[in-house]
This record gives sequence, C-alpha cells and structure tokens, in this order.
Amino acid sequence: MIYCPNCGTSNRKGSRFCNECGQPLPSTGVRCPMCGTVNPVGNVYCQACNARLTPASEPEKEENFEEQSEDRATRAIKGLSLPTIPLDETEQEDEKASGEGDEREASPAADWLDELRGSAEQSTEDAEDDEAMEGVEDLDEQPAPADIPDWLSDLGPIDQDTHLGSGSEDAPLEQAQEGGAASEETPHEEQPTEQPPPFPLDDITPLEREATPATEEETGPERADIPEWLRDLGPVVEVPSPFTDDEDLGEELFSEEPEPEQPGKERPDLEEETPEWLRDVGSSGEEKPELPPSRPTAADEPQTSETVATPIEIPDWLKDPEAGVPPRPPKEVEQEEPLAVEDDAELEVDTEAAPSSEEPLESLEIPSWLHEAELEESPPEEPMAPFTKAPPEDVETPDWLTELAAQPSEEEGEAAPFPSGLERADVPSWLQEMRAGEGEEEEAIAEPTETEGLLKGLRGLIPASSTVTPPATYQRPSRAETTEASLARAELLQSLLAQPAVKPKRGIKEARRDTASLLERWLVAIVLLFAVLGVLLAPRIVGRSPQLTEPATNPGASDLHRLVDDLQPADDILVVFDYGPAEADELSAVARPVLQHILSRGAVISIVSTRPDGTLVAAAVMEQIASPDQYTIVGYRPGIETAVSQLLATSDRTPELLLLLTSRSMPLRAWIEQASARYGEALPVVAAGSAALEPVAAPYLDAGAGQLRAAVYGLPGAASYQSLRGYGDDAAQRLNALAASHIAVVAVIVVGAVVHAFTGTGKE
Amino acid sequence: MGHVIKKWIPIFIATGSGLLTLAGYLFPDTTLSAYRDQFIEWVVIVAAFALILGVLNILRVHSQRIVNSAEGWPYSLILLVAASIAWIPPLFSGPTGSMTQGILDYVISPLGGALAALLAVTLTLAGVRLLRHRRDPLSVLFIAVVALALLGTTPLLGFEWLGEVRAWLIQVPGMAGFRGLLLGVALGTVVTGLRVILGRDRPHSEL
Amino acid sequence: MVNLVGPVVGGVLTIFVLSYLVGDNPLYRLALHIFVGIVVGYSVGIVVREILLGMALPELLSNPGLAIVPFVLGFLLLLKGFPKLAFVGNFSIAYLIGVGTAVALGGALLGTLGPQVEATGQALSGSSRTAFRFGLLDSLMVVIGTVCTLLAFTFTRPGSTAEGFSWQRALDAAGWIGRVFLICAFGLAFAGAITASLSIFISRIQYVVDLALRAVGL
Repeated sequence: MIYCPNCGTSNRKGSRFCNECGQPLPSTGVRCPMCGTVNPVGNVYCQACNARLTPASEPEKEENFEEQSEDRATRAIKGLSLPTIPLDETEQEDEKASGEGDEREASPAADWLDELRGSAEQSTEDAEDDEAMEGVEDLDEQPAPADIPDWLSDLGPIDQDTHLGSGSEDAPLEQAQEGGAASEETPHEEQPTEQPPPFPLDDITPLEREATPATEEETGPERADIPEWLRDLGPVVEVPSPFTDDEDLGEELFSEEPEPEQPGKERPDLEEETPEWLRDVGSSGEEKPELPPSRPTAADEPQTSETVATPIEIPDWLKDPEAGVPPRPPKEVEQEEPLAVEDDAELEVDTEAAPSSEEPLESLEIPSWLHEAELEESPPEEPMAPFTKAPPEDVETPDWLTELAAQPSEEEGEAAPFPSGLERADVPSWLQEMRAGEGEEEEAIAEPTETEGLLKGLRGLIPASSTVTPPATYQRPSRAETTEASLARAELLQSLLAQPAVKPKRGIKEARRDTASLLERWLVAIVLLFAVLGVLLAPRIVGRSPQLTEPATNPGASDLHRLVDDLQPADDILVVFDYGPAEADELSAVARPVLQHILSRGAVISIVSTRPDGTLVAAAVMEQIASPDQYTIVGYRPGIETAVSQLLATSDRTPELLLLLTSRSMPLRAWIEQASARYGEALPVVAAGSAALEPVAAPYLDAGAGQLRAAVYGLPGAASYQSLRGYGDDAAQRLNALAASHIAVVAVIVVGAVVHAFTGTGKE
Repeated sequence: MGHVIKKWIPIFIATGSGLLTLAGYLFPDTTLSAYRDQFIEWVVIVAAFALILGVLNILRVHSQRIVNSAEGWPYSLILLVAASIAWIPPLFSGPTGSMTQGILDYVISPLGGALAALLAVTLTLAGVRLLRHRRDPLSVLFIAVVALALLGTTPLLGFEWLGEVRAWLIQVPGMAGFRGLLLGVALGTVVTGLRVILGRDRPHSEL
Repeated sequence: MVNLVGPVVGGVLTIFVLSYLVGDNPLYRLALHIFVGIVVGYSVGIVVREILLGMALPELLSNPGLAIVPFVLGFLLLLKGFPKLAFVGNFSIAYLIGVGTAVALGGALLGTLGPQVEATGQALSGSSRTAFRFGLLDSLMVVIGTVCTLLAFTFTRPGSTAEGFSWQRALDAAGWIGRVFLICAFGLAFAGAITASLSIFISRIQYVVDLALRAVGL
C-alpha cells in the first residue's frame, strides 16, 4: 500500500495518483516505459519485458547526490554524448601540449579548441608557459623611448591616463588587436620581416580572416595610399587596422574572458609578454618612427573654434604603451563641427578600465614594419600633433582626433570634460551596477575543467546529470490529525450512507406528465365503460337495447356456412383449438355456432391444440354444445410447426375439413402451410378466428391462393353466422355494445389526435 | 477430443436431421417422409422436456428471489404456491375434470379475460397519442384507416357503405401489404433454415 | 352460496386486474402472479399427462428400440440446468433446431412462397379479377402493392444520390409506395385488435355486471 503524502489515504501499490485527492504519489519503483510494469528501483532491466530501464550512458549512481554536487567542481565531468577520455589520459594530453602546435596547423578545428584549452589552463596554472601568452608578454614590454615612432610621440606627453597601453581588462582587446595586426592582409601593410608571434586568439577569428604569416614579398604601404593628413602628421605610418569591421572587433574583444587584474599590481614579465614586433620597435635601434607626441595639453596647443575646445579623455588602449597597438587609422570623415564640450564634461569612456600602468607614450615600441614603412616614405615632416595643431584645411580630421588634442589630460578617476554638442548620456542604473567596483575585482569562479572529450580543458560547461531521477526517500507522513469539524462531517456522511436508498423525487414536469397520462387513461376507460354499460344496461333501464347496428351480410360467413352444409355424416372434422381462456370470450362466441352447425351435420370432431390450455378451453366449449361421443380431444402437442405437422401426421385418414379456431397469425400460418405441404388442395381449411385475424388471413383467403376456403371473424362474423343459422340474440346485443364502443374509440382517437397534433412535440 | 464433441457433434446432428426432414418434404412419396414423421414425433417428445425445463427454470428463479428476500418476494411465493397446486388436477383428471374446469372458469378465464380487456384501453390510448410523437402524412393515413375499419366493422344503421369501404380496404391494399409481409417472412424463413441446416448458423451451440 | 364462491373469486380477480386502469398497484400484481402460477402448474400437468404418459411412454413400452431416443435426448436436455453439464444439452437442442428448421423451411417453401407467388401472378387473370370490386384496377393495385411492399424492406441498399432518373431513385419511390400499403395493412390489423379486445372487454364487463346483479338479486 502507498500512503498519500497529502491526505494520508492508502492507495493500491503501483498507483500513481491518490484516489482521494488526486495528488501524484511518490513512486516506489521505476515504471517500465515499454510495458508500464513497476520495477524495484535498483533494476536495470524490466522484470516483465526485459526492456532497459536506465540509459546506457548513465553515470555511476551514488547514494548521496548532494555530495555528488559538491564534488562536481572538483571531479572530472564525463560527458554523456561526447566520446569520453579517461582521466588518466589527461596527463598524457598535457605532455603532448608542446607537440600540438603542429597538430593545430594541421587540424584547424582542433587547434582552436586546443588554444582554448591552453588559454584556460594558463588562467589556472601560472607556471605553465604558453605560446599564446607570448603576445601578451610582448605587450607588456615597454618600448624604449627611442623606439617610439614620431607619430606616436607627436601625440604629446603621455600621462598615466593617457598611455596607450591597456590594462589587464583590456588584454583581450590588445591581444585581439595584436592578432589582427599580425594576421590582416592589406596592400599597404608593412609586413614585418619577422613573422609575428602567433596570437592566441588568431585561430578563433572568423574564417575569412585566417592567420596568414607575413611574407617578405609583401611590401609596405605605398605612399599613394596614405592619406595626406596622415602624412602631414609626420612619419606617416599606415597602421593597418587590426579589424576589418566592427564585428571583428567584437569577436576579438569578447572571445576570451578577461583576465583578473590585481589593482596596483604590475604586470609581471611584461617584457616577455609583449609581442616581438612591439619589442622590435624598441630594440631595433634603427630609425624608428617616433611616436607621435602624446596628447598635448590644453596649454600647449592653441585651441581654435574648429578644434576641440574641451579636453577628451584618451582611451586606455591609447594610453597604455603596453598595448603597443597603434590606433586605428582614422577614416576619412567629413569635416565635422568640433564638439563644444564643457570643461567639466567628459566623454563616457570607461575610465575605470584605465590601466594601472602609467608609462609614457614615449616608451611605446614601434613595430618594425611600421619603422620600415617610414623609411620609404618621404622625409618626415614636422610631426604634427593631432592634439595640438589644427589639421590642414584640406584634410578632414575626425572629431575624435581634434578632440583628443583639445582635451586636457586627465588623471585617473577624474571625469573627462564633456565635449560640447553632446548630451550627457545617463548611464542606466542597471549598467552602473555592472561596473566593477574600484578596487573590487571579483575573482572568477573556478569552474571545474572538463577532463574528457573534445571539450577537454574548458570551463563553465554544463555538467552532465543523471537522466534517471532517483526516487526520493519517502517518509511516511504522520497520521492526520482529526479535527472536530472533520469528525462531524465524517459522522454525517456515515449517517447518510446508512439511510436506505430513497427514490429521487420527480420533478414537477415529470409529475405533471404522469398526472396527464393517468387522467388520459381514466378518461378513455370511463368513455369505454359508459359506452358498454349504456348498451348492456339499457334493457334493464329503458326496457330495450338500442339498435345501433345489425349483422351485415358477410361473404365469408356465407362460404363457411355452405361448406359446413356440404358435410356428410361421420365425416372427420379436425378442429384446432388454438386459443386460450383469455380469448375465449370472443372466440368461443365465434366457434360455438360453427361447431354447432358441424355437429348438426353429424360429423365427428377431432380436437387438437398446440397450446396447453387449448384442450381445456375446447373441453369447456364442447361440454356446452355437444355430447362426449360427438367429439374426441386428441390432445395437446408442444411446438408450433412440428406440432402441427405431427398432429396432421397422426390422422389415420385425411379429414374432410380443417377448422382453425385461433386468434393469432402464427398458428394460422403454420396450419395452412403444413396442410398445403402435406395435402395440397385435398384438405379444405376454414377458419373462425378473432377480428384481429381478418386482415392477416386475407392473402390466404384470396381466390387466387385458395389456401383458406372460408372464414368468419370476431363478433360480427359470429353474429352473421348466427343470423344465417337463424338465431343470435345474445350476439346481437353484444354487437350493439361493440358498435357503441367502436364509436367511442373512434371519437376519442380523433379528438386526441387533433389535440396532440397541436400540442405535442412531434418527436419520437 | 472435447472440442470435437462440443462443437462438431451438434453440427452433425442438426445438419443430418434437418436434411432428412427436408428431404421428406421434398419427396413426400418416398420412405423419406416416414423418416420425417418419425423425427417430428421425437421432436414433440423432446419439446415436452424443453417445456418442463422452462417451467423448472421459472420455479428456480422465483425460489431464489424468495431465499434472497429480493424485492417482490411475496409475489414469487404466491406464484410458487399457485403452481404447486395447479398441476395436480390436470395431471390426474385431465382437461375435462371438474376441478380443472373450475380452475379455468374461476381463475384462468377471469384473469386472462381481464388482461385482454385492458388491451382495449391500452390500444385506444396508443391511437390517441400517435400524433403527439409522430406527425407525418403516414400517421394521419394510419388513423384514417383505423377509423374507417372500426366504423366499418359495425356500421351504424344508414352507414352500411362503411362496411363496404372496410371490405375493400381489407381485400385490396390490406391484402397487398400482408401478402408482401408473408412473402418476406417466408423468404427469411427459407434463408435462415438453409443457413442452419448447412451449418452456417449454429444457434444450438450458443444457447 | 357455494356456487357463488367461484364466480365471486373470478369477479374479484377481474376487478384486481382492471384496477390497473387506476395505476400499478399490489392487487394487480397479486392477480398477475396468481395467473402465471396457475398457468405454469397447469402446463406441467398437461404435458406430463398427455405427452410423457399419454404418448411417449406407451410408445416406449410397445417399441423399446428407437423409442428410447427421444427420452435420452429429453434427459440430456434437462442437464442444461447444470452449468458444468450444460454442453450435453446442446445435442438435444441441435436436434430440435435441425428438425424444426426443416419443417418451417418446407412449410414456407411449399405453403407460402409457392401459392402466394402464384396467386399474385393470377391476380390479373380474369377469374381473380371478378372477385374485386373494381376489377382490373384492384388487381393492378394488388400486384403493385405486393411488389412495392417487398421492395420497402431493402434496408441494405444504398440510398440514391444522383439527380434525375436512376434505378436507386425508382426503388426508393417503390419502397415509399410499399410503405403506404403497409400502413393500410397495419391500420387494419390495429383496428381488428381493438375490436377483439373490445369484444373481450364487453364480455368481462357483462360478466361483472351479471355477477353484481345476481349478487344484488336482480
């Protein structure tokens, strides 16, 4: 038995829902999906149909699933659908990590995954060296002042906030930019002689941007492709955009999780993390284009109306020299109206993402390719600080560039002056909440690493879970406490059930219907009774009976009378008494004159019957009209057709006449059929039956068939035969009563039909 | 073996006896008619046992009703008492015995006659309510035929023509209708009989 | 006085039954159960006296050979009352059904189908026409009515859906004509049943009235 946890009702074992409250019952077994049999929990196969109850790849069951969840972060997670790699193979895979570089090139699909693993591993294992981090290391190396190209040096002194390098939070951006810079193919790109280090995220960039090593064949950007305004800036170096579009920027930016950053902590081994090209910029010793000056201050550069009057905060990636990523080449933009920014206004730049390093811009290393491109170009002109000088009139300077020159340098944490013309956008509160608190840096949740399959080494995967929900430990609920109200209701219910069944009361409509039908029945009975009593009692009341009708000339009676008249003495007449005491009131009145006529002819009557009470009635009738020697009661035979056939067969000789006395059609048909089948037309058959038999016997009485020679029916037939015999006063009296009742019946039927025709529903 | 006995022997008995009896009808002038008559005589005797079986079943049903005190058990007791008394006079004195005739005159005839008399009221009520449930031209035709037939059975003085109308109704449309019915019944009897004799239908095995 | 007991009992039982006109009541049910009990008992007595003792036993005693067959079949039939041995009674029932079916089949073939079909065909002959009031018209009506009545019982035939003339529509029309003839036939049978029941009703009322008058002394 299973007890419902909701109401405590005991239910049959195997029930899924409570019989009382309908709540689902705790399953104490596992139901087979094929046959529905409830099996014990531990069964793997169904005990009825041998179907498997648990999935084949179901992980090992443990007793305590809570412990399992706790250990999930530390335990290896085995995927359900992916091919699994045993745990002991993970170490072997680590050893092969160094040799995976070739494999990566050979299988790009696996390489990107391995790269992810490598980057994921390095985030947890600081001791491991990763080739992918070389670019990052290169980024951290501060370029020597001499290595800063002129264009970068023209940008002005780089404050702490204006360093071009990026902090740790911008590392993905830097890395992506590096990777993009190293991999993009542009005709004007100055490919470095040295192959740039493979960027860790190169392999995960879109397919249309595949890592293509720079070749010596590639030349630097031609002078013709460099816009004039950039040329005017000095040693113009076409800085290839690491990005072809913004989408790439997005992918590059967010393809890797940001690394956790320690405030105030200097990036260790920056020199090792900076890419080679960036390192070459500072160490080549050749003529290297100087970095454009840092962002000029407001005092150094005259501000015109056309220039940006208000200082603009330099983005972090532009400030941080570690980034080493040249800014995007300014696109040709229309001469825009300089933004009028208030002094206190500031651009909505994520200042919090300002890198911790505050190295000047001069320390930025210029890549070698940039340096080479500078050599081929025209002699450097006087570097023009885009932030200090107004661009030539024929050069369309982007607004941001002019704004950068006008904006004074800002310290970290201070709000940059808001440029004029812009409306200060309110940072929604939900977005502000997403900002990392100053000094608050959440540590990344150490998700467990996948140790098997294709996703090995990745973090943050959805752990595999068991497909079979283990049955909950069922605790038998405590006995329900009965309150006084529930006890009272239970007692009331018990008393109601103990009462005997009472027929439901009929509705008013049904009662009316029953009353109407009862009244109708009484009305008909009263009408018939008055009609009959009026005629029957009229002689006693009036002195004579009313003469409503008189016996009509009946051709059937005439024919029968003639046939009986043709009988000879000692002829055998077979008389069939196939009616019972119920019909005796009518049929005996019909049979008596005919029998008397037959007896008067001197014939011998043999009485048979196919009804048990037929001989009883026959004896009663014959006792009244004949002496015992004038008739013989042969007997009763059970059955219908077989009895008739047997009775016909027992006759020693063929009767002269067969007289049927019956009120039903079936004995009439059976006698006629058997007589026709046995004797054909040799045995004349006549009938004296009920008035209801007249239309039924008409086909046999047809002259064409000749199966029934003559017949009289009912009281009218009896009266007609009696009249032919010369007597019949009692029949005549009853005939008048019958006529009166006929009129009453017709009247009642017609009136009732008219009434019901207009009041009834007309539906069956 | 039990399956053979239960299924096939009754089929053989029904088919064999039926074919022989039918042959006696089709060839009456041969010895087959004698077999037919012998078979029919045996049937009469077996039918007597069938009637006794039916009576015993009625008694058992009412006895159970009395034993279980079911609803209406006093009526069942009266029935059993009457049955236990009524078989004695005909068994010993036959249908012509005085006691048997007394039962007929004072019990069976009044009761049976009264039940048949109730039929007059019931049939009249049925005619009255006909148009309440079924209003169509055929229902009106039905009532018209009934009225003509009743009035023509005992035509009032001066309306003797109603008798002739009734006679015509019985002789022409009534006879045509009943002849069609008779032919249909005969055709059904022939088809059913052949199916039973040939073993296609086995009502004996389903009883 | 003794002579009145019987009639009084009869009269009382008649009133019990006629009380059904008022509604179903215990008196009516009492009278009904008495009637059924008396008929059942009388039937058993008559069957045993006339069939078993009057016909079968003398046959068995005189010719014990084959005469035992119906007794054996009869006793097997009585085993129908026992569920475990009920299958034995199927032999007797099979015999009853076989012979009874053959007798009915023979009678239908030779006693109804043949003569009635012949009579339908002869309805148009000169001798039969004279029996009808309107001669040939009545004869035609008889023939058409008989055929259409038979066609009215084709329930397995699909109904007609086509427009215009089609045999299906013709058969449907013939069936409708046959239903008209059937209505006439049933109406006549209904009227005859009313007449018969009224005759009995009159007889019963007369019986009761005579009894009452006799009791009163009139």
